Amino acid sequence: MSKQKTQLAERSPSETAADLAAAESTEHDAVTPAEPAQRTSPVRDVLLTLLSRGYLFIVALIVLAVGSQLSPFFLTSRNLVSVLITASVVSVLAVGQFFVIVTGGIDLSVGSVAALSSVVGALAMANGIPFVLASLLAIAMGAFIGLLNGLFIVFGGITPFIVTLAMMSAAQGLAYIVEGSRLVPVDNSSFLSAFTGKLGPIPAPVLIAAITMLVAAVVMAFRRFGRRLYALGGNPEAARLSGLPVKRDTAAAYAISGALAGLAGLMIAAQLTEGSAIVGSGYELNAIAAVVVGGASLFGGTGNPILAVLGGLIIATILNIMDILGIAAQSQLIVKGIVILLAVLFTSGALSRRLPQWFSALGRLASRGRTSSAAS
Amino acid sequence: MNRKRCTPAALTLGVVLSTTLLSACGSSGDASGSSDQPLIGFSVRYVAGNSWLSTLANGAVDAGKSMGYDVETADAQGNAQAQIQQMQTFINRGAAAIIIEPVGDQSVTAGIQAAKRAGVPVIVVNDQVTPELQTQVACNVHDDGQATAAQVGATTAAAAAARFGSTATINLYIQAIQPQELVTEQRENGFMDGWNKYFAEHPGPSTNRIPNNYGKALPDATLTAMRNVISGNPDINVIFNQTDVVYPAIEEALKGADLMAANGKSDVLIAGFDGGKDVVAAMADNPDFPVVADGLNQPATQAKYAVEEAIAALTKKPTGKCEGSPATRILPAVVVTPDTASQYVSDLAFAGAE
Repeated sequence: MSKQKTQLAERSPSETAADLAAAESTEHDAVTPAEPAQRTSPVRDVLLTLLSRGYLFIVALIVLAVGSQLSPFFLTSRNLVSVLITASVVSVLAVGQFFVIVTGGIDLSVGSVAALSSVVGALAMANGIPFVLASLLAIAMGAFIGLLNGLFIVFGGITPFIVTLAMMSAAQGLAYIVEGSRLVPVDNSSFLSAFTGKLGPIPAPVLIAAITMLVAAVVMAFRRFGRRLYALGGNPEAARLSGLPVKRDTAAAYAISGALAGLAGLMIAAQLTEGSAIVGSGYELNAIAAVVVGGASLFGGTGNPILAVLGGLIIATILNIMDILGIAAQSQLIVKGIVILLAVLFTSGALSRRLPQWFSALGRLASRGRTSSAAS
Repeated sequence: MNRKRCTPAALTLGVVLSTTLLSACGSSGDASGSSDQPLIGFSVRYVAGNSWLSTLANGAVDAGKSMGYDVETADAQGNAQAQIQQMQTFINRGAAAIIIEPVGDQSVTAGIQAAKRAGVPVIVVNDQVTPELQTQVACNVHDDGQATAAQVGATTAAAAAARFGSTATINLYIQAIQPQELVTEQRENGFMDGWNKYFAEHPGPSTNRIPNNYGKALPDATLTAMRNVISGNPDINVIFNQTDVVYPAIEEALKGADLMAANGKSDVLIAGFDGGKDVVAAMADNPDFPVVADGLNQPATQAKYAVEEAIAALTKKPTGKCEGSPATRILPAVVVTPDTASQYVSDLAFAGAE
């Protein structure tokens, strides 16, 4: 049963949706169908997906090798930990963004929701609420905003871009109002320890990002909900006609994105020891870039949260190398843009499909040239 | 109920709720309308989210109130077109004068010219407009960022020479705000002028400049920039942080790299700017605090000067303090050191003060 479902992402969207619906129906009927011999294990599916994006690992290795050659400070444990901590916030946001992008949607509100969460969490603690409750409050607030996004999209019939763009503005305005005239300092030592301390040698932000990524990967690969999101993103109409709970799953995806934005806001508040309405600016685009560089299609139905985090890490590492080398900010922006474009070219398959065509065209041109020169 | 009938009802409900919410929230600048006092409009580049400019805006409202004028602020949210529109609205509402904290040096031309045509005097405060536009307004009020930064640079250089010795190579880094921007460049140039002048007069240490990185005055962006710079330059000695708004990010990055203790003590010297309340208070209270100099640009005082000049222009009674061509009133450069910080903690309206 579960094996049957884990294979679905590798098939066409309509097949996927239909099979999922059939699988669910079968499950409800408590009938176990015969497993076809060729069906593979979920673990193998995940490994195959990761391997199919092997170029990302190769790119990561190249980046590490280049960085180590360019600066003796790059491949030090201190710097690598610094990169991981820096990338941790965007990684959490990228995982949330992945849940939305895999459905074919987009969430532009995550940066503002993170800012609002940092302010709400900081204010709650400043008013004596224990840090665990304050954190839960901030995350729940993020989830609620995400849920609102989802409800507007599925019941209002408004495109995700517009809904989340509007929510980005509204959440930012709300953050300013809640914050008041000055930043909200955070001095709760338990909170700071939980979000910036260490568990053994591992910094807390890195651990939080890693756990978030792994939980998301398990959900997407092994849980029915995750498989339905792939089906929904691959072909929403087929998913709907197959009886999958498309509206509920879409709203849930946005709620998860909002909740993770809330978590990211708490991580920012802890790192800066303040809640602030001005943080998180541009994080939504960084998270989207991470997901796209990680191989997900903005049209939905593909990708993997682990690769989304890897995509974010590659971008963060390249920016780190340029900062270490003292490359001007203007040039860094150009490099970042080129990295994203190249990644999308590879991801979409456009480059890999066309490169052989271009080479063969070049070959034909060369042979024509030789023929004409021989004739003359 | 079908969706077509439901949508207008939902929209109406949304508008009503939004209006109710906004009117409940209110703002310091919403006092006009019912007031009999003459109106002075104040369009600010940003109010929401910028503690320094909020202090400037609130300072103008308070100064106006104490002088018998109604100062109404408008937040241009960094948008030049919005600022021009706000200026036009103030003119239409019969404002006696307009103060602007300009979004851009050239982009507010249309607004200034519209005010000129309507006979409404304009005061430019804090940031500057182009030399051509400066001649078209009643007064330009600002601090001398370059001169203040030069004092910060000289004071920091003296502290660095004392700390690192006369034969040291000092690794100096400027945590800058924005590339190719006037304030950033003024502060950088001023700081380096003061720094170089000090070492020209007191030769000995050599300086190694670590290339600038930019944090856009955003704490999270600054934290990332600082972390990366420190990774590549673990032997960093001196940091000039161009705005105290992001000081917590500087501190966090240094602590993360084990270059600062939990109590703030560090071998790295830090210089600051903007006179952040927390920074100046820590300079006064904590002998281990690493900030050795901080440039004050006194937003509330700038606001008071701007309102005074606006009233002088509309009553045609000059203060005698806005002089020259273009007419300019400059705040004196003030630098705080750990020795003098205590006298500024209670006297100044700092960025972020309520």
